[in-house]
Amino acid sequence: MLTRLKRGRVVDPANGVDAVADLWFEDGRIVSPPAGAAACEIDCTGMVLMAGGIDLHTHIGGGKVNIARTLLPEDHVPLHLAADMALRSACGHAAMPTLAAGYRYAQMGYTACFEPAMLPTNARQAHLEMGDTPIVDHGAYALLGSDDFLLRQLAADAPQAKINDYVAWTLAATQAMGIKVVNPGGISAFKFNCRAFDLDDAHPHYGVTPRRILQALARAVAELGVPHPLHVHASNLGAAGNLATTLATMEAVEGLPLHLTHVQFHSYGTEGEFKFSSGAAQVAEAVNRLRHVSIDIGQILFGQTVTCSGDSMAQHRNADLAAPRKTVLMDIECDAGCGVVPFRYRDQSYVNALQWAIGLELFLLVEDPWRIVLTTDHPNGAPFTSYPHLIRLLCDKGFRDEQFARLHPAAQAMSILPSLKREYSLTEIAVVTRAAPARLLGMAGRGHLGAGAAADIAIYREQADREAMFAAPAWVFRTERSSCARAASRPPRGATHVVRPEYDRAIERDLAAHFDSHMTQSFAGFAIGEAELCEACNHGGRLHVHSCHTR
Amino acid sequence: MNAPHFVCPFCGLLCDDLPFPGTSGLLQTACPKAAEGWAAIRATGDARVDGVAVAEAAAVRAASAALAKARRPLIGGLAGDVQMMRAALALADRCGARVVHANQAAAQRNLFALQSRGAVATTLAEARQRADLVVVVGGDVTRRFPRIMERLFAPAPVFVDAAQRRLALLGVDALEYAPAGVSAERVDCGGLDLFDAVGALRACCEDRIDARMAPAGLAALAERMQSCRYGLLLWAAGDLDFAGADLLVEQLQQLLQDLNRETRWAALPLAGSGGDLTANAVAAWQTGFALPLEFRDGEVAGDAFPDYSDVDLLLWLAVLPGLTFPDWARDVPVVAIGAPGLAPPGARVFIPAAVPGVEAAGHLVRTDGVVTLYAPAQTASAHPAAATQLERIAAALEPPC
Repeated sequence: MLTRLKRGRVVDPANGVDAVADLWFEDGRIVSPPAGAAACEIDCTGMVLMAGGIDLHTHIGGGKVNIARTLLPEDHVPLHLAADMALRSACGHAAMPTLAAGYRYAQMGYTACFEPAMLPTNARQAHLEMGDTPIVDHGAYALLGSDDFLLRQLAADAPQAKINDYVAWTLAATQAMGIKVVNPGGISAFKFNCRAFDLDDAHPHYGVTPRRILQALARAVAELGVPHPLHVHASNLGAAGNLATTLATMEAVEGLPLHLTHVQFHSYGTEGEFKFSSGAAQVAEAVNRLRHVSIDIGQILFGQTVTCSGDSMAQHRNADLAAPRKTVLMDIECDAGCGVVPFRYRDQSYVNALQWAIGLELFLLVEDPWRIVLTTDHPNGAPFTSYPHLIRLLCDKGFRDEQFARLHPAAQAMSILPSLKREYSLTEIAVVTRAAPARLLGMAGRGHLGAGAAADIAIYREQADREAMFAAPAWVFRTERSSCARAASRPPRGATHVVRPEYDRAIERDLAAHFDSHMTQSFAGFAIGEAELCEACNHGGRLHVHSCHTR
Repeated sequence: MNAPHFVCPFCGLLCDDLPFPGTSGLLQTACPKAAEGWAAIRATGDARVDGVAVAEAAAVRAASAALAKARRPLIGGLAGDVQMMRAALALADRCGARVVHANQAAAQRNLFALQSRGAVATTLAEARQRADLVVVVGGDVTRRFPRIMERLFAPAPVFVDAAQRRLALLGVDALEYAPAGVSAERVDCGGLDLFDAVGALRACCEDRIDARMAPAGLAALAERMQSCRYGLLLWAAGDLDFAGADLLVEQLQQLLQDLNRETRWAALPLAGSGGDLTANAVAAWQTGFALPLEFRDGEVAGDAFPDYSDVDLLLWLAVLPGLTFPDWARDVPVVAIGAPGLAPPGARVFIPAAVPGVEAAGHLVRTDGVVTLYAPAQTASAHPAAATQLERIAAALEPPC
């Protein structure tokens, strides 16, 4: 149905637009203003139109999240949903169940979410969970870097071409959108009882360094033409002084594209009375200088949450800080691991207060919004439902100062935040929540409102209070919904997004042998087929295969 | 084209290195649990209402009518695949039903310990490749999982010298299906019961008592536990059938947490038979809650200590074998969906459904809770999958349920 969104303020930075205009769409696509009349018109006076939000780093599906849900029955507060939407009963807060996650993302105007840490051996479960996450499109990054196959290849000095084939096979077999590395080699090293693992430490069994792992994977991703850069959770997460590792990690890939995730957790110095200080200025300076680097923040916000990470080494270190005091650690299948630690961030904790300030300092000091993405590393820094609050902190210096004044006084003394006058414009918010993540993921038809783009549209009532504005859009349209009726018999189902670079299938012989020697399932049954993915995992949902352009 | 590989759905190990019994006939010798499961699902049968064979559509209508009339329906059994569980939860939400797996008592022993103290766990491949000391606790796990020792010990491990591996039995006399080449050593607990024995182990491992105060067998085990490189605790919650078993599991998990301060240890709690891990995983990801749970007035909530005295209809789902029909449900009207050979005898309505991994493809969660396998169909089925039957029942319901 041809629909006209009339006289709204269209904020579409990918197309350089910030103007009052009409926006038209039909059959799930945005169209140029046609000659004919619309079948449906919505008056958008006083409203701001943006492309649907895209979260490129949110733990929405897979084993560790499900452990967190099971671990924390006390976390699940009921969600009261519109009775006219034929929605399922749902609840959740930090360890958000799939139904609640889909509904709550859509309620904020987000239309696509990416699970950043899909373990290949757990990929089926991740896709099943994402298939049960309604409304939003989804995809995942396959986690490599502590898997024994890769470490064996690197220890044996395998040629880069073989690493590339393995990476491409992993993307295909697990139906992934990108490659993530977590504490490179460190998850494996922890299985050998190693407790700390820095960029140039040798792995206790394979002798390989994290630097070598990063280089091999970054090169594979680049040479295969995977649009999203290697997604890196750097070594030494959460450790005071990890700033040096983070800066060295940016340089380690020698100019290849690199996405450093939840960089707030990796921007710590060792200055001051408590030997814990902000490294935001140095990290931001490096990001501003190094054009091959993009980041997301992993902002923390105060309150109860749960941290779910593949970084079993770091999570074991954090176990004594668990609140409530219960932690789950797992070693996983010659593949990876995970750790789940419930946590309560407190503004009266010096460390937590400074973490909060460090995240905001990074947001305000990094100059190019196209290389920075708004995240809380849901749920690790805070549940994604706090994004509207975070947006207000970025847009409203007065509000930010009020919140800052509540912090632990020693943390206030260690932060330059009050001196940063910058306030994000609506255009900049649209960049860091939609346009930049779409570009960083290589999703040509998303994150903007140009003709031909998916009609994923969020319409917000313009308000000075940006938290109120972004918490409850007036309208949200999804690609699949071309009706302007607010209620529908069923909410739309999201599609799965993947990439599939070419590779030499000879790698499968080596993999089959590796499965025989190392794994406990047959190679024949490992890969997730397209029919299995779409029909079984995603209830008949669609598949978007994004192109890879070999560089 | 090659025949699809066979994922054996008859216990939580989900072995995919066995031939399909329908064409090989070999299962009898390869695994007694698989042979038992295969025998249990082979019976054929039609849809029935009140003992009379009817068309499937008529049975679906009868099931739907019974569900519409029930005030406190319960969806139970739940031995099936992911798709069945998805459909069961959707139906339960629509009807305001409670949902519980037949293995819930065993599952909750691990669950309560997890929710109270957390866990340190591992998966089959890590256990097989790394463990140099395996301690089996509380029962002969090989009766429920006959191939577990074979899968842990038979292939040469990668990260440990095979000759250095040790197997200890704590509170277990012997293993029916012992591994080849590794002798199982029974730990002499000096007359202590299992709770006290684990308590003594913890005290020794944390250096809270002089090891000489503990029974010699336990003191020796504690020393080995502290000096091994990667230890594995193995139990099956189904074997821990005594009051306070969740507290024992909690003790075991705390022991693991203590040991991991210096060395590496993890648990592999065996489960997953009869689809229990599958059902709990789907429940947790959709609702946040492990089973049992309850849908009521547009809300979903956990139901950890359920009282089923007011259940007026049991919708019993069993396309996989191995469940025990609950005593409390003897006098409750039952609508059953499942393999004909698995139908409770008194079911008022029975709707046949395909067995996942045999007659239909299905996703199942393996014992470690991490690896989900896709079990392809091996043969054609005379009946739709359980999920389809549940969706038909839902479609026949007049709103509101």
